[in-house]
Amino acid sequence: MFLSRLTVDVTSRNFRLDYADVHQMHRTVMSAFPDLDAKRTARAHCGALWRLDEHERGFVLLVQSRLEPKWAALPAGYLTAPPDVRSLDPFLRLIAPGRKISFRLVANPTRAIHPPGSVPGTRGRGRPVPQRLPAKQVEWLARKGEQHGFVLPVGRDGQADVAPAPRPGLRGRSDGNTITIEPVRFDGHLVPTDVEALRAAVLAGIGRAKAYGCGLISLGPAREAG
Amino acid sequence: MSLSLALCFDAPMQSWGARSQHIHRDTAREPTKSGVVGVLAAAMGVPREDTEKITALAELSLGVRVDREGLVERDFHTAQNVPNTEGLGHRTVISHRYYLSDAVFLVVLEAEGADQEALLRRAEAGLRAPAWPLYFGRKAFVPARPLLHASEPADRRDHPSGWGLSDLPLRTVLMTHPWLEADDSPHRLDGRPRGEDAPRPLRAVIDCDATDERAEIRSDHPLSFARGDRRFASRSFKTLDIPLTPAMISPGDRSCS
Repeated sequence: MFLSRLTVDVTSRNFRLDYADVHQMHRTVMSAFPDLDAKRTARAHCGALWRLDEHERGFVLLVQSRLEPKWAALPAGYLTAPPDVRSLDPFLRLIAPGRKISFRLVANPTRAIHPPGSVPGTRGRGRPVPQRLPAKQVEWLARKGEQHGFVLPVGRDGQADVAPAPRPGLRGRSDGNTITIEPVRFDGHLVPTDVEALRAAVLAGIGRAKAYGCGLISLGPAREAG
Repeated sequence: MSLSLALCFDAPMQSWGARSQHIHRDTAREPTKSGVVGVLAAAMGVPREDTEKITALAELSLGVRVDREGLVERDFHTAQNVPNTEGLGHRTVISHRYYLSDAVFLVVLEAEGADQEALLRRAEAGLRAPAWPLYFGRKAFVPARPLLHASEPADRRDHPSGWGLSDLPLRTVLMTHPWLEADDSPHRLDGRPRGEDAPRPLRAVIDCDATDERAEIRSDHPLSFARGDRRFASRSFKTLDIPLTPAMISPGDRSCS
């Protein structure tokens, strides 16, 4: 697995256009990977996940992938520094049962709205709408943890050790359809309960809108109170 | 015969709230109709209680071309002594206030019929000598350059701004107005040698009929700005791609450098 850190030039017109249209950003990221498998989506095939992080005076584009990316495909002037591509393995090795790990995740927490009168679970999956309440967003993450083999440790205040912060809404257009996503950034700690499930979740991403800058979990050593 | 007014909205910071509620003050990626009407009304000295004039301004057709996409930033903001709806329980409130940084827009208004044309001419006169200060969404977000040219449209060499009034339909203005990006702007060059593949188009949002299959809805058509009685109707608009042609990049007799 590869992890690329790309320092973006915020004055690049191509970057600005991608920033304004999340579908274009997805296409720019995918331009680094070859088109191969027709059955799965190209993104899932490459295991590509990305996230745009604010960084000092600009942005860093983090891209995780199974295939080695060819960043020479980016438009001229897109980056201010050469791409920094490294292995994801050291981060995956952090995952050990019971070990506290710090993480950052930009995700798209949603809840389903079912048509009035319908019994939930009987008529499809319901219409997903953004989950906007911070407490519900943490609840969403805790539920994802149950599915993907991690728990959120409790801090001294008795609350989950995670801070949800709203991110600017993403908009895009794909084949005439409008994409709107309201991502949330989670910073905090997690404790693995099922190492294999968590590894799989880190590789595949969690939640909706994985093509659109959501779902990439970055891991690091736990931050201890000093 | 159509009459349209082309304006340049350029500022380090702009904020165009479209669905803001309570502590979440968002911004759209381009000026809203209520925002543009507010700027015109301020220029003409129309008080917020003058609902008749506000609604007349809102009837003008609007098209916005995004000449430089802005970056969305968030302010951490606290307000103290905020009462609840019953005027009680004063407390400190944290709000999320978004704004666009470093964006440039070409804002075009189109008049139809003699009444609207007269109104648009008055608006243009107002913008040349504003009755009240002009700002883009928040009082601190002042324009970075004039909204209108001081001189004839042909001469934009010294200070590129909006064309101002012209006898062209809105769509033609959006398709032909010179790109508002400054000649020496880093945004403009993009590391691409000139002549190499065509530059990516400019996004534009334009008023359209509600039955249009590409129509999107936004509730930003102002009905009243009166204090305690702010009301908006929904407006349908669609997004277009405007090709960025060499004529728009290097207007007039300028040779390619």
